[in-house]
Amino acid sequence: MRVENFDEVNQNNYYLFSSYGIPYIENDIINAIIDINSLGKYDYFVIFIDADAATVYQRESKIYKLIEENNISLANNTSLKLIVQNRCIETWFLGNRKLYTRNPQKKNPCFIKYSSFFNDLKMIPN
Amino acid sequence: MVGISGVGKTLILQGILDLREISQGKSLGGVEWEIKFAIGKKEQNYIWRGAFERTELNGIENDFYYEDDETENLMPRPKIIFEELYQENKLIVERKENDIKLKGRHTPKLSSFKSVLNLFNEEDIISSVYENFNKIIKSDDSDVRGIPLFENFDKLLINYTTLESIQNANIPLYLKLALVYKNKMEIFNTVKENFIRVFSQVESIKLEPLEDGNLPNFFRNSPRLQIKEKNVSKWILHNRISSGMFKTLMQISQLFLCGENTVILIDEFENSLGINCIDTLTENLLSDNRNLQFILTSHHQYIINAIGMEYWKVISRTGGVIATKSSEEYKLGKSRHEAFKQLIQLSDYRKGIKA
Repeated sequence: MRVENFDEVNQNNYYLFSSYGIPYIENDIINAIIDINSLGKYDYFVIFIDADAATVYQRESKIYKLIEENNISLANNTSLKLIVQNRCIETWFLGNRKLYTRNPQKKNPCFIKYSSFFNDLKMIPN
Repeated sequence: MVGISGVGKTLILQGILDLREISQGKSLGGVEWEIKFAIGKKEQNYIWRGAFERTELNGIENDFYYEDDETENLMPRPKIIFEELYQENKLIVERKENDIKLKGRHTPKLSSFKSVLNLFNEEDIISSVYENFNKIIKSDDSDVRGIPLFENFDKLLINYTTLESIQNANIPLYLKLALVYKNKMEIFNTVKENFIRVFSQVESIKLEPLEDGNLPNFFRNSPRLQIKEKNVSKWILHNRISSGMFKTLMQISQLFLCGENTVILIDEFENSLGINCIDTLTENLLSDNRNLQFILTSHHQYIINAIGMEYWKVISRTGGVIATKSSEEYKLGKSRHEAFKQLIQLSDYRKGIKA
């Protein structure tokens, strides 16, 4: 179950935090680690980030380096999971068969209109 | 006040201004209000509530200016249905339509259209309430349109020598600024410093009479606003100063020169005074002893971070009902994340408007 504040987690809870953009994520990662460590209840710290113009490896390395340079580490009971969306989360949405169906239904006229303008299955966006 | 666009922050500011208008005798059809407030350093507590009838024009008449002689008006003017004023939970004025009781005694028939605050504004018990509602100002409603000439400025300089007397005087803002320029230069310099933080191309400001004026004697010493910009050799005279710059100067002056107990409303701080001066302004005004109250709205990260969470009101809306909550109610403040970042995670902020 989702909680509104980071310190409200107990059992089977999660807390979501958005940086609202890659440039701001660095400070937020450090502050998140401090919050997580202060509470001591988190099993996982999961970071979702778009690759954008970088490679998956570059994004991951930058984050590991950031944590190291700030002399900070997660408490022993918390694991760090990095998920880099290549190129971005929207790419994943376009590749998801449930979201981007091969046989759009008539009840979805907007999707049909956009798909006939630019069919993502046939013309891969750059 | 913080919250996404459209949630109602400006409406709240407008509501406060409407209450000032009502206290001054204006009729606002269809409006019902209840407000709790405190006045003065001793913090006397009041409750003021009331309602106007709804006329067939449904509020359009609220922009109409009524002459005092009500009988000649063509627009139906909304009457007050009921009104009550309590001081420390004791009922001071009670009104049902035209039947008014002041301190328990019936009064003669008075205007059905004007608030009791206006009708009895000279009664001891009501005058401070009336005066204090008058002290609600909107920061960008400058009362200066042009730069007037002042008769016998020298005489005014002698009468207004202390900062307090200048701040509490019922005189135009521009004149107050001219008086501090001569009599309280350190305050003028604070205004100037804040102004230069917004307009970094400005080097200096002065309020001096013009040397070559062909004015009659009593106007000759009237101070004229002049600005000196970097890389511009001559001082720029008031009638050549950009209206944006002039408006900002008046806004900043207002903050330092308004009287005691003023309530200042600033909508979208980042668009009016801007982010460059929020730090110095908050620093300068924190130690002020005029008992000022600021009610601001902002979306801007820098502004919101500059103002302590304990002063925030988070605004959200469900249909036509606007709600406010404090940051305490959201249990903000325990995280290491910057204040603004904590705020924008709240679902009440992100999904501020619900059907």
